[in-house]
Amino acid sequence: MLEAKLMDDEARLAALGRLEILETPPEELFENVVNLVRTVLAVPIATVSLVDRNRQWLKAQRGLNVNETSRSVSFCTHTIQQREPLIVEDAHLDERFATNPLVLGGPRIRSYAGVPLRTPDGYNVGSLCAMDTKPRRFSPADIAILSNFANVVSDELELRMIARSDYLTGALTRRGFEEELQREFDRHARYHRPASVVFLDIDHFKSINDTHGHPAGDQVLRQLADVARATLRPNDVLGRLGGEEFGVLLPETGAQDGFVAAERLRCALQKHTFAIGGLQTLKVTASLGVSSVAGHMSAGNWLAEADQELYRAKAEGRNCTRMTDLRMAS
Amino acid sequence: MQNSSLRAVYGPIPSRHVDLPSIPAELQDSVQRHQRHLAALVSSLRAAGLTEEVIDASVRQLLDSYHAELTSAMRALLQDTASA
Repeated sequence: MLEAKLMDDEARLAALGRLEILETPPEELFENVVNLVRTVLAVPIATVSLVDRNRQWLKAQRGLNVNETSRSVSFCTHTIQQREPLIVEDAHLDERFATNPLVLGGPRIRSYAGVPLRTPDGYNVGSLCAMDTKPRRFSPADIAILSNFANVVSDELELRMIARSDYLTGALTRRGFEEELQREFDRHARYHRPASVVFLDIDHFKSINDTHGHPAGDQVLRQLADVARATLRPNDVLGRLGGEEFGVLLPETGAQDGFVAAERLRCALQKHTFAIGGLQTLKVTASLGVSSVAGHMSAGNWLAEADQELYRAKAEGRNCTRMTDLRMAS
Repeated sequence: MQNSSLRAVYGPIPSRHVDLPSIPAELQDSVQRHQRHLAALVSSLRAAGLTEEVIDASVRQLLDSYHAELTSAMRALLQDTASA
């Protein structure tokens, strides 16, 4: 399973996106780490590199005068394809790198050690790298130090994810979800990219809690999030907006496809049998409202419109999906 | 395997059980994992022959910036709890 994650670049990119770290300003911890790596390992170049779709972006760097390179020439794109550190003692003698422009020209990298930076969900989003301009043998002690620094960087990335995640379901918190929504809205405003948002509410959730107790309610919430993650695409975003309310952000998804995705999710929930402890099971349904982004609205209005459609789905019988634009109804 | 910077924040190192009553449950595993990673880092720096002064300074820098992030994360979690 873990090794499958090494091959799934789309899911890896989605994990990188969830960190919301690309294009952010310099930050103390990452700056400290590259300074320390350079000092302790006595190398002229150290970087915290994040591997995006077509580039490597440097969150922190010492010894280089760029903050990104194309992915095709980066050493780190090789590092993230493995769990173990990548060590290149002499790039001139390694057929993968001997003709690399970063080796033949500036910064004239000759030796390299990189340790993957792994997210809590198992994706290698980048690497912590130490590089030299001369051939070098990295000792086991050097690699141990670099690996331990990489663990500290990964801890930092995890800390940020936890702060934005709902403890019970693993979905984003409302705050984290609204940040993602705003980011997607800004992307729409700038590039006119389509996107849809779904507001979901579990039908009769109060009676589940009243009849079976709050632990059973928690089981339902957890399993709903699992079903949603299994149904949605890797780059869709799930957030828990309140008690039994969830939001789903669907990037690159117009109105019609947004409605289809919401219906797929509703049907998956309807089919799922929720285990609530012991041999007890429940059937649960949900009502959904969908809104596709449009130029006349704000990010807040966008979500509010989906909420209004959810209200309509509830008023019109529950276990259904409603959407403003298409006036579609399941 | 003691380090003054780590002791100041986390207590003796390594420690399998750290009492962190003020850390929200959501963060406790992460904080304990960070503690273990720092302890491993100290060991590897020491094994590489670095002086205690260099190790202390290095770890202190990492701890200071981690603490700033941890405080920010705790504040965010408390806000989410309050608004739920």
